[in-house]
Order: sequence, then C-alpha cells, then structure tokens
Amino acid sequence: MTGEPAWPLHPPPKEIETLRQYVQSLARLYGVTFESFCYHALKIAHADEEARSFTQPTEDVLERLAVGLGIPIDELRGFEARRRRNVARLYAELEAWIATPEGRQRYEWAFPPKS
Amino acid sequence: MDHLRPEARRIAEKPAIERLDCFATDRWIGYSRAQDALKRMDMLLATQPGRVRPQNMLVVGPSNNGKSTIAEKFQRQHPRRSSEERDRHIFPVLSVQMMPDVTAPRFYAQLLDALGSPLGNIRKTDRRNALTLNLMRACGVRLLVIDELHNLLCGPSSRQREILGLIRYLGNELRIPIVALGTKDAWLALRLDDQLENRFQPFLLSMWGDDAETGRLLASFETVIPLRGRSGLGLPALRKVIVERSEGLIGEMHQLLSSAAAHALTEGRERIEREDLLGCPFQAPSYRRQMMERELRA
Repeated sequence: MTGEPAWPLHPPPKEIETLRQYVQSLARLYGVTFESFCYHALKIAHADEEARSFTQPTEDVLERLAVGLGIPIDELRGFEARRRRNVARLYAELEAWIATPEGRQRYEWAFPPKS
Repeated sequence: MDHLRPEARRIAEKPAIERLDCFATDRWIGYSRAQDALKRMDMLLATQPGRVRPQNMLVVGPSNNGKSTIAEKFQRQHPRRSSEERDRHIFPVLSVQMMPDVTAPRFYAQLLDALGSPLGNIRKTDRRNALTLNLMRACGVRLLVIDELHNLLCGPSSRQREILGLIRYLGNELRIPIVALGTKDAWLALRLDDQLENRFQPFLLSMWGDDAETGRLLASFETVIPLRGRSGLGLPALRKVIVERSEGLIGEMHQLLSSAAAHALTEGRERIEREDLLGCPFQAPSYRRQMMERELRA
C-alpha cells in the first residue's frame, strides 16, 4: 500500500529506529502521549502493552500505519530487518573510519586507551 | 458550435441520449461578483497572515446563490501540497462547514478531520484544542474558511457565544484571516460578538435581477451547456423567464437550465426555448417551500 499519506505529519523513519521508537516519535510530533497515539491512531487498546511493543505488529496496525504514513506495508513488515541492516552498515562505516589515521586519532581522542 | 467552450463542444458532438446526464455536472461560471470575492480572498491570504489582528471576510447571500461554489473554487486554487521535506502536508487554505449541532469539541474535531489528523476523536477538550493549534501551525494553514456560518444560530445563545469566541481565538492565536460564508443569519450571528463583527468585512452576493449583468452570466452558462444550437439565454426574452423561474438564485438557474437542456433534447431540439424553460420538471424554490408546508400541515 503506497500513495499520499493520509495523516498530515508523516516524517520518514530514522535509519536505526525500531518501529516502536518511530511510533513514539510520531506521538511526540503530534503532541500526545504514546499510549494515546496508539489508542486513537492505531486502535490499540490501552491495556494492550504487548501490541505497544511493536515486536509483532498485527496486519491491522501495519495497515493503519501504511495508509497514514504513505509507507508501503511491506516496508513496515521489514522494519526490523531494515534497522538491523542499517545498524550493521553504520558499524561497518564506523570501523572503516576508525581504520583511517584521522579516524584513529579522533577515536582515541574521544575514547583514550586505558594505560 | 463556436458558441461553446472546447470541452462542451466535444460533448456536444455525442448523440443526444449520451448527453442527457451531462447537464447536471457542477461547473464554475466565473461571473464578475464571484471573481471579486475570490480576489478579496486572495488579498486576505496574501496580506493578513501573521498580523496581530488579521482582517476577516463574511460572504453573505441567500441560500443556493453560489457561496459554497466560491469557497470550493478558492480551495481548489490553493490546494493541499506536500512540504519540501515531504514530511508534512501544507494547507494554505483549510475549509470546514459549521454544523447545526456544533460544540467547541466538535468544531475542533472538524478542524482535525479536515487536516486528516488521526487524532480527531481524542476526548479531552483542552488537549484537542492544543493539538488543533499545533497541527494548524505545523501544516502552514494561512486562511480558514468556515461555510454555513448561519448554522451557528441553531444552538442556544451560550453556545453561539462560545463558538464565536473560539473563532476569534483561532484567528488571534494563529494570526490568520478567516473567511466565513452564510445567509444573512450569519451576519446576525457575528453581531453577537462585537469584536468579531468589526473584523469581518461583509461581501454581499445579491440575488440576480433581469438586467445586463444577469445576461452576461447566462451567456457564460450557455458556453458550457453542450447543445449544438445557440439559445440566446442572455437575451431579454429568455433572461426574463429564467430570472423569474429561478427567483434570482444562481444555484436554481443552474438546475433550471440543466433541466431545460435535457427537456429540449428529449423534444429533439438542440437549443433551449421558452417552452423548455416553462415545461421542464424544474420546481421553483418558493413552489417547493409551499409544497413542503402543505405536506407538513396535512
């Protein structure tokens, strides 16, 4: 499901956000609590803490997010895998940077080796 | 068929049976008073946002005389768009309709719905208030249109004052102009709040008379009615019948002409004649009212 986002505010997710963190950032943006956003926008009952963990979001929740944010539902299904890929890529980039003389110097300045 | 606009000409080439459904389509007819209203609304949009006390406008006219069509045209001229960052919708103009049973929470919910917010049904009024203001700011709303303002008078006077206070608060807090539209009752409603009354400049949409201005309007109508022959709707003979039957209301003229055009086609004619205007199934507004009152009395 793609197309124009139905919701007025629809920032793209950050690279290493979990789905829960992403929804938390949406709640902050709209100026309501996380629980309230989940309840009103995603129809997650107040008592349903499991659903609010977003570890295994239901198709209904994913559908609402997809329509509201204009993000394909498959992208939302693969949110955690995408996050892991991005974390791995960022680590690889960091290690490559630390391997350069400038990077090594800056890294050791920030994290001095214990003598 | 050079009396028709290109789009109408294309439709006019179709067989009569296929054209019967085309007449009732809503069309924008840019008569001079409507263009003036749009220009004033554009001026408000260009100059008033950000002012401490922005000027507002009240478009006043009888029911079915083109007020909502003007509001819709203005909305179409300033549509929702995506922000450059593509992270939000931008609404230069936000339009809502005043409900007869309006309350402050319902009015906020309407604004939230118009913005497409997923949180329109949030219960706490104070939170809904803050949420609405935040979203209207975030979505760059620069002008608020409130149609059917006269519906405000359906509620008790305490509620009327509450909603007027809310409208004033929105304008002041967001520093945006407001364009309200309604019948003369809308103007009466605004008079309940001295400060609002002074800040809403009235713009009158009068009824149409049997005169040259109406002739020009009817001539414009003729360019979009897909009949192959020229009817001469704006000429005195037909103009007089049209003004009388429509009782000078542009919405009624549209319905009358749609009905008369379909009538002409079914009679095998490609132009509207006097007998089509008189013989088509159109019912004048006062006749409909009389019928309704008779029904209610029975």
